Amino acid sequence: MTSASLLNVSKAYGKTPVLRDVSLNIKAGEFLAVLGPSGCGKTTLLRLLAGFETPTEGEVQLGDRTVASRSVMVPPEKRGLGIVFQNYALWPHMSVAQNVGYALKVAGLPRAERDQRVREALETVDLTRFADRRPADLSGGQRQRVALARCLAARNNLVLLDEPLANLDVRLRATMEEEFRRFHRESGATLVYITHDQSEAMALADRVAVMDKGRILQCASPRQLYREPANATVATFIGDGLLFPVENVRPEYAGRVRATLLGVEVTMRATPPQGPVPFAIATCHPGNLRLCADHEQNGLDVVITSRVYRGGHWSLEMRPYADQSLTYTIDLPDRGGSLPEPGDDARVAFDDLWLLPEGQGAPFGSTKTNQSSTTDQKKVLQCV
Amino acid sequence: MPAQRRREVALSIFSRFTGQNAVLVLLTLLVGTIAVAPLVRLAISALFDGDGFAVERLTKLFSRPQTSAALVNTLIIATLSTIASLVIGVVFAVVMVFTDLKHKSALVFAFVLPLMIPPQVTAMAWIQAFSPSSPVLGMLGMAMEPGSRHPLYSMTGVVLLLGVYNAPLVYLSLQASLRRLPLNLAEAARAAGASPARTVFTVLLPLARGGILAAASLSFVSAIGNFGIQAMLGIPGRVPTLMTQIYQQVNNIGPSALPNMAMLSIVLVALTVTAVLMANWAASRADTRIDLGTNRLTVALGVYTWPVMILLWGYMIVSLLLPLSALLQTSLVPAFGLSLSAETFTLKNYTAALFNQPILRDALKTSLWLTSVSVVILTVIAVLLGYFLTWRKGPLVRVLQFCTDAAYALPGVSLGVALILIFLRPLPIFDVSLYGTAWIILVAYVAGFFALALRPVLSGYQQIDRNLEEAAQVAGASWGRRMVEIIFPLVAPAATASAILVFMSAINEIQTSIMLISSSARTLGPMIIFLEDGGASTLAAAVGCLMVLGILAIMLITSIFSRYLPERVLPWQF
Repeated sequence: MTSASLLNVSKAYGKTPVLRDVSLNIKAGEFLAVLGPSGCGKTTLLRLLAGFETPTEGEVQLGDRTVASRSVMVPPEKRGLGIVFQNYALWPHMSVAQNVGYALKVAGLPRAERDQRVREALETVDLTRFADRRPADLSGGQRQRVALARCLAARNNLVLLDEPLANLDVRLRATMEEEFRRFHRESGATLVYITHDQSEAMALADRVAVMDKGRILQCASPRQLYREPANATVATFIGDGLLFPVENVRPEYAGRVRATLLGVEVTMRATPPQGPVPFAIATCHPGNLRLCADHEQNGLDVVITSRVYRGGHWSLEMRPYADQSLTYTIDLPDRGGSLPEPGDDARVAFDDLWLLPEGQGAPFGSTKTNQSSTTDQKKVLQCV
Repeated sequence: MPAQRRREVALSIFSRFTGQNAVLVLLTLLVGTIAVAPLVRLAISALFDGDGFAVERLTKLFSRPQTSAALVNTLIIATLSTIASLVIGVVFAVVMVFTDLKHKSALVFAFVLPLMIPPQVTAMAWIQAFSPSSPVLGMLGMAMEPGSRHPLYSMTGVVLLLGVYNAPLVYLSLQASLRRLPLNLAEAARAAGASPARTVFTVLLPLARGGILAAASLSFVSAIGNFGIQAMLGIPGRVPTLMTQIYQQVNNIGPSALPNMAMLSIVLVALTVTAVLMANWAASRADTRIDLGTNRLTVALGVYTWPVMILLWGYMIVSLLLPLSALLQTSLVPAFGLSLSAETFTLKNYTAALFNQPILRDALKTSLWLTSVSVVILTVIAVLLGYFLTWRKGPLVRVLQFCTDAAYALPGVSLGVALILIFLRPLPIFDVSLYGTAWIILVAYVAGFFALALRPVLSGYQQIDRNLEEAAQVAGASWGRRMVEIIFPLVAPAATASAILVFMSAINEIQTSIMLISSSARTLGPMIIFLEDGGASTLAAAVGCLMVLGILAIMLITSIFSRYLPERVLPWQF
């Protein structure tokens, strides 16, 4: 087990910044996922940890050893970590056993011990039968397991995984996710898992660091990311969160505030020391909205603009009367009842709102640009 | 700066110059010397005399009618033969890439074969096939008046032969870019109602114009630099070119002609560089969308199958079979001009070539060891160089890239002149003279075939996933260890291909050898010209046939083992 940390790391290629002042503490034995769209800098972050890139500013530490700074640069071959590459990077001219044992051979381990550790590693990933095969004769999932066995045999304390499931088909992914959990359990290694797939990150990791445009936006447990996003970008990225302008935020009791949301009085969750602010942004997921019954007075009046059946639930797109420039899509479970048609008026109520701790104080007037830029980001995030 | 920090910085600078960085520095020095030193030496000799800038000498040189004639002839020959190569090569490439013709592998093999045959042998074969006393034309009843001038000893002859000789180059360069064209562009044209042929001519060929221009430049450069054909046809035909003039002047006048010939060599380099730059410019403007691994447009030839077959195989017969069979016939008769029959048939030319001629045997021996040593040196250089050029960045790598490009630009005869200039006097520190020894030819081969050796290796590197090296790196392997245990096994097929190409070219090399050989160091390539000049045509024909046989053997053997080699690295593989 090794902890790893980045201290105020920046990286630029020429004048193009790729990482901007990133700090991250990875605890010993932790399973940390780094989640973000392509081009967000997550692969650069991995290559900095591995030693394939040198930081322009800042320091990289593995355990209590500084491996990269202004004066120090420990090359990858001296860092003693393992990598599982997206394309597995198995050497085609070596057998499976030779692939798994290469690091031990380089380290100069005696033959007997080497064979013993290769055998154990192959047993763990259930590939003993394939020891003498060439990587070309294996399926994608098997190759992935050889790559894992390579880290097992080397007893790497820190293993970096670079989008390891991206090349596998959907059905294999679930099996491999389980394989990674087992690998984490049995090796006890610290895992840094790079991915653009949020369901993967949420399902596997103890903590997820969400990255965008070279910064870490939030690093928290999957549940906290989903329920308590720190800012608008994380909120819209994780679980397609919706953003609502709110005014006149007043603390009610610890962790709960009252506010006016497009003219509607609502209460919502907030970080405990939330003080009164004139403007802020609230968020919830598309499933946290419901259509009001006829007698319910307290709801947001909207006009329905489109209705799409998505198997099991309906997606309703709507515009609130209070601000026609905003558009929201909500999910309604298919319970067989009748639903409003496009063009109908409706009233919706909120189940579970969360007040974003970042971006408070500024009026939502700047939200026009704000809103569009976050939807842009959302588009980018989704189409990856 | 505190002492400790200073030590750290010093240490990190030192560590930068060990291992791969030391190799990079040495390699840059070596390649820089190989590529740049000849050019610099040529420029100094050409432009300066003992007392400064040689205005007077150069003015005189360029006002000589021979000089302008050679320059004009070179340009005309290169341009017209390029047009001929383009027509033949484009047609062949289109048929090979876009149609459903059968036996493509055999056609490609036959089409590319002439490129592998040394040009002096090709020239000799054509000369014999179309001479007034041609054994083959005679048999076909098409022989010309005895005593009439040989039709190929002319500008037309040189242009025709160079056009045919370089057509495979056009095909090879163009087929690569045709194969990379995205299929969906063709499908869109078909969907818009264009017929297959129309799609080829209005969509695919226009898209490949970058490739066509690159092919044209390649063939232009190669025509300028083809000494064998220019010498064998142009010298007797009194069509002087820059190359033949350099060769004749250096040979007949000796070292005093060197400064002027260095100038003409520079003119050759300038022509080459211009052509290469124009091709690069064209390539940079070309559509670079590529689409690997998809199916290509395939046009069913239908009723045109037979006409196309007849056209292509007919071309093979005229361009390959006719000259080669003439060569074979000449090699089997006791004296040139005799027609082959049961009475005249003899193998004495072959026994002479193989056993009774000490000069030939010496030449073969010298060529073999020179070639083998060059292959080893060049393979090692190419593998190391390929690594740095493909995967490393930085100022040294840029210098390396520049030197590599410069090495492409040096025609063999120019290299020969440069090496004579460099080695004419004994080496300064060691006080030994390489001039007149085989070592100078070795230097020439390493410098001359450096570009040829590099190309397959570079394309080999492009097919290797860098992660494979990085995985070895995180496994703890040092750079040297990675090179030996990971990189080399992975580029070995490409390196093999490059070794084969270098071997085939060097064993028959003519143009630098002919400038550098001496009585104590003869190579095989120029022997043909010497034998032919000395009137031993039948012996020359036998040597030529043996060369072709050797080439053919190598090509066939490598074709058998082609599945162990990377795809499309050897030109004769379809």
